[in-house]
Amino acid sequence: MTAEKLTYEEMEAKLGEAQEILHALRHHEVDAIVGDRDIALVRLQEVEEALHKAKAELEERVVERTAELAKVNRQLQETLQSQKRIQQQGERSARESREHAELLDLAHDMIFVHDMDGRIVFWNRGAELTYGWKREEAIGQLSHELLKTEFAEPLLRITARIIKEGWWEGELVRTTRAGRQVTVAARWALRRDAEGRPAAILEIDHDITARKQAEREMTEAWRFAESIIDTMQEALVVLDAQLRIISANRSFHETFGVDPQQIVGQSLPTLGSGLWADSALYHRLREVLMAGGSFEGFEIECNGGEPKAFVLSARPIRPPAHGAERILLVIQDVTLCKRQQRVIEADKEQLGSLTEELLMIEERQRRQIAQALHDSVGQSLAFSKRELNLLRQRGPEEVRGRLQEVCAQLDDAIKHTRDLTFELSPSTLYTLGLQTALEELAEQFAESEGFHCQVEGPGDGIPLSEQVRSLLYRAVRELLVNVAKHAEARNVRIILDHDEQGFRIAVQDDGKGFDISILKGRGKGRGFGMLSVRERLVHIGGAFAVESEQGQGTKVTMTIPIDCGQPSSWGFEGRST
Amino acid sequence: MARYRLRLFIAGDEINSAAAKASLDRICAEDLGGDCRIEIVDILRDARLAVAEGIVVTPALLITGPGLRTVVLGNLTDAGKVRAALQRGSEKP
Repeated sequence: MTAEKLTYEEMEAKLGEAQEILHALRHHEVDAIVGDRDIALVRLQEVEEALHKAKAELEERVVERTAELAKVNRQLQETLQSQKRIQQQGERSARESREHAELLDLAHDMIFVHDMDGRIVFWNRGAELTYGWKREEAIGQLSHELLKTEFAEPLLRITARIIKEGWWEGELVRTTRAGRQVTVAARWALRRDAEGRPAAILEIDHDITARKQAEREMTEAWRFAESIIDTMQEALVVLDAQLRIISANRSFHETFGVDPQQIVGQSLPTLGSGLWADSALYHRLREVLMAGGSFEGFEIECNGGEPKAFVLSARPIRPPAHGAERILLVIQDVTLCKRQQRVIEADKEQLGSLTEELLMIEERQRRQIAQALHDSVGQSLAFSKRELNLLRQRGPEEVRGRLQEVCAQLDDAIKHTRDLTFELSPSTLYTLGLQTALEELAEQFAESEGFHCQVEGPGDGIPLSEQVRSLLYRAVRELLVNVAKHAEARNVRIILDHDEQGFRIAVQDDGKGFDISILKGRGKGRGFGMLSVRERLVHIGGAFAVESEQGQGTKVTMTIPIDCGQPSSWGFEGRST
Repeated sequence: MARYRLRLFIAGDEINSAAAKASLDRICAEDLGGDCRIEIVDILRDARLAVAEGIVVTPALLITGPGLRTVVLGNLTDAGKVRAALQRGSEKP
């Protein structure tokens, strides 16, 4: 388009018109602007009013918004503070969790946490060391798959229980990374979230493999011991601190005819027909428990039904699991032994009686023989000697010498007869008493053996039966023979004494003495005669004591109880009238 | 024949256009004694005349006469301004 060239007046008019337009526009007096093609409506006033209104509204909105913002700001500040507190709390919780985790790492136990799906979310140092997986390897794994856990009861039941009760305890078998099986005492605890829903399970495993192995070995050893015990003939029973039966061997069951299953747990004193309700036995067993001692040889007899006799011994034992004290009671059935012992005692008693009877018969026979020797042979020899002496005095000279020799031989015969009579049964013993007889005996030994022998005593008058008199006489004779053979003594004292308790005879020498231990043996020789004397004394209720030392002489004391020495059918000790 | 030929360009019933029409009617009645001929041109209906007359904005009062062409812009509330323009038109016969 070619610009039309305007005159000055036209340009001035255009300028004035433009100024008018600007003025009108400035004063909002223009409604529209007319273009070549379009018309633009100009509503500046409305716009301005609208702007004013909008401004007012905006300001109002701004005020409202400002208030809202202030409120929001306050809320935001509160939220921020709350978040800050939560963050601090979270940081504190995280720090505590870290510290707890560090503490848990110090534990030797295997501690880990898994969520309710079984995925591991925590794994401590103990778990790393024992199971072999590092923390980063274990986290996220399914715990029971990782550890190949063997459960004693179904996992479903365990889970139900832990959800219901919040905990579970039991033994589990796990397998380590190296394939080693580990037995653990497991304790599980349930963790719930803020809404109380189950969130995780804490598992604490304590390695009891060694303990279980030891228990197994102990159990095997126990079984082995039990198998040995079952083969024993003695009845064995193990009692607890309340004297209740824990176990018993086969012999116990058989001996007392009890059911093995029914007696376990029963109190020993209540068992059977009162056999074990023995207060003395009860006290002895309590002593074993309290003082830890033991006893042996406690005899108990059962007279109900078939008579039974038992010898009990007990000692405390400590079970493998270090429980309370227990008692091992060993019961030996000595019924047969007792029966045989009674038979032997009866036989022995009978034998003793027979021996005594034999001795009495022997003594009678000795007396009878002695009497016969004295009355017939002795008298005949004395008569013959007297007659020969008369013949020798009246007869021819050539036979006197021969008769003299015969008379001398008769003297020897008479003397031997007297000696034999005295040896067989000294008549003094029965006529004048024990002390007089012993005085004669002492004279004989003094004369024949060459030592000084003296009898000391209260005199005859002590009431002793012939049996006892004879026994004591022969005992003293035996002791004097021993002195003569072995003692090399110069002086021997025979001391008689009696009191309310009994009668005593002591034979004391000043010889070389001897070791009395030889009397404990059964050998022949010097001790044999003494043992024979002792057995005879003991049989009649007396006692025999020997005191001797090398070079210090010997003293043998024989004691007879007063009731034993009393004469019965044999008459009284004393001088015959 | 009227003394003044007045042509008022307006844009419909817009505020300034309505005010200009009312002001012009009052001036015509009070100051010119009705001796005027007013032609209202609504550019919203037909803008060609406006374009032909070189009217750029509305409301615009075009006063024409022999050898005279004066345009008063705005809502004509300034009656003095309109009277001055009319005076200038009447001085040039």
